[in-house]
Amino acid sequence: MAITIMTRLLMAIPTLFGVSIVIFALMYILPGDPLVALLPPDAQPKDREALAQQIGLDKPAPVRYLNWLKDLMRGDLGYSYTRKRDISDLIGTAFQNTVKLALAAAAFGISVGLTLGTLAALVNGRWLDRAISMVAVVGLSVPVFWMAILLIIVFSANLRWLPASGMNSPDGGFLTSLKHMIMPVLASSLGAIGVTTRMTRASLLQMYGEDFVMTLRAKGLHDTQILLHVLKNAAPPIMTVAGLQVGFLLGGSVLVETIFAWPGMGQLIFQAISSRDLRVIQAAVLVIAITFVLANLTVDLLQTIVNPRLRRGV
Amino acid sequence: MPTATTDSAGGAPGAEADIAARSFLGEVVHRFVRQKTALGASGVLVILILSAVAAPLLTRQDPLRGVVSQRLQPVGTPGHLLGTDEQGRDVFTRILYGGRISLATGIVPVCIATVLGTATGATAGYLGGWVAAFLMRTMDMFYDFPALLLAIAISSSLGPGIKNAIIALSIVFIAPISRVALVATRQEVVKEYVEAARLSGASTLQLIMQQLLANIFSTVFVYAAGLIGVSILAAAGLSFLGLGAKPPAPEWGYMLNSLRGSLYVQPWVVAVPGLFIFAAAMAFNLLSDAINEALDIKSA
Repeated sequence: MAITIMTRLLMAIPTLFGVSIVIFALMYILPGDPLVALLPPDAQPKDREALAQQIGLDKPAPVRYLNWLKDLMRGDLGYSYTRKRDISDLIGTAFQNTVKLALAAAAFGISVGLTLGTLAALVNGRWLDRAISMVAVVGLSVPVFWMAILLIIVFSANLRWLPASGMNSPDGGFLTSLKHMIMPVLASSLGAIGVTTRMTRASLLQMYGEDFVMTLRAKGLHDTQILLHVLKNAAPPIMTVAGLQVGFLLGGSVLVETIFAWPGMGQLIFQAISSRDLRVIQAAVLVIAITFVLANLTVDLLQTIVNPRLRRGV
Repeated sequence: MPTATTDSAGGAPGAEADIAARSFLGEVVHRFVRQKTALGASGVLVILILSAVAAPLLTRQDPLRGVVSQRLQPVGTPGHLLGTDEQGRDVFTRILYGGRISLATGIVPVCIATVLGTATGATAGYLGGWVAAFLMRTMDMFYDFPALLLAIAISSSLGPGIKNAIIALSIVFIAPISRVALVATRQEVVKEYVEAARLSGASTLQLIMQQLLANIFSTVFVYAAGLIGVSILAAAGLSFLGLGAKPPAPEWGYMLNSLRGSLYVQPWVVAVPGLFIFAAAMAFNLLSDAINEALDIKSA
């Protein structure tokens, strides 16, 4: 098993390189002058050259990539000339806030999805199954930013139950911060609910068709006991999909955070888009993409530990 | 309780007799129209597309010009069925015209990505070796990003605008489609008809174009159809963030964002554009599910 885990870890390295190459290419190779955003409109050609030299833009692309990678390894994500701060400082707290929201939304979305998916599989073909399947499609089709606005209309503007923005009130304690979380979590978890429900239902139905279920039934096991066996066997694909959701929530939080003024990566990206602060956008996307890769890797490793069949083959 | 034989995708008893009587296409169409949700979703889509195309016939008002004195009228105001926005423009008119941009930015990237992704995947799957390794490793680099985030990164580098949003989304979808095409091609190339075509002197290009594409088409098509809903949501999301349609263009996502400031004044007018994004995405998702079921390709 140790070898399998080592192989998985090693396999993540080229993936991370790939991610860094894409981001680097987006920053420096695409059409458009990266200096325009950094220089004042009345800059002289001489200033341009000085700045190009200072940032290292006068060197060939591979050299710049290696330099950039070296900085990255030290945790240096560059400097935001718009915000006048180190980008790693900007990202630090924002990242924590996003992870908090994404994990809460993933936990909620995956547990609701598992419950609904299992229920749908148990009543397969009946109206409840069809209703749940419809709910899952709705979850996949609702624009999160629209759902966020609807929630605000209902729970903030009309009912005045929940705060419409921010992560906490100045004098608020744990309960207040929990209240701040409800709507962002609800809005961002819909996609995860949809995907997890569909995947759970499909995997369970497939497992119920396997021969071992008939054997268990013939042995006289209860329905609940059979369900447990089926769940255990259907777990790997469900886990993979559920694990992906954590990553997607990290990325998808941009829209939800923007609407609820949640001080996370999403809001940081939105502000950077508004001020055309490309470096902040790219750095934020890079950090989220790396987290995405690591989250998937974690799921992979968990799978290897939980599922003995995966231990042998790589 | 579920039984071992219950399968939602399976046909009704006696379906085999039907299959024998119809052509493949006839059978698919028959299985498609049998599903009520499929018909409903198609209806919604036809209405959305037609009303976008025929917008000038359905409304006399200007989608770009508003009357300042008529700002933020509620839903149901005479002359402004869906109210007016923060600049006094008729929301119904903007929704109709906006459908052109919103539906196009959702559908076009999937079409572009289907062509390019299928070409990449089929080439890699047929040729194998270092060509496949190079093509697919390149694709993998894009595969490891959450879709919306990659689209944000690309379109912010290219600059805001509908064209750039379409390019960004196309790039995002090429990687997953090429993977599907690769797997489908690998399953096909080992079959005998490919060998037969090769022995009868077909060139590589002929083989890919005439034999392989026809046989991997349904797999790729089903997968790509499922992406349109995703694409519509992502395109609206980009515009919402200020990366897609530029003001004052009517686009559903951008409309939702520009109306957001009036949330406490006219909440239900603010909700209108989102309803259309939702309806379009939902209809495409239901439609792709129905096609999937009609072609009897198991979705995972």
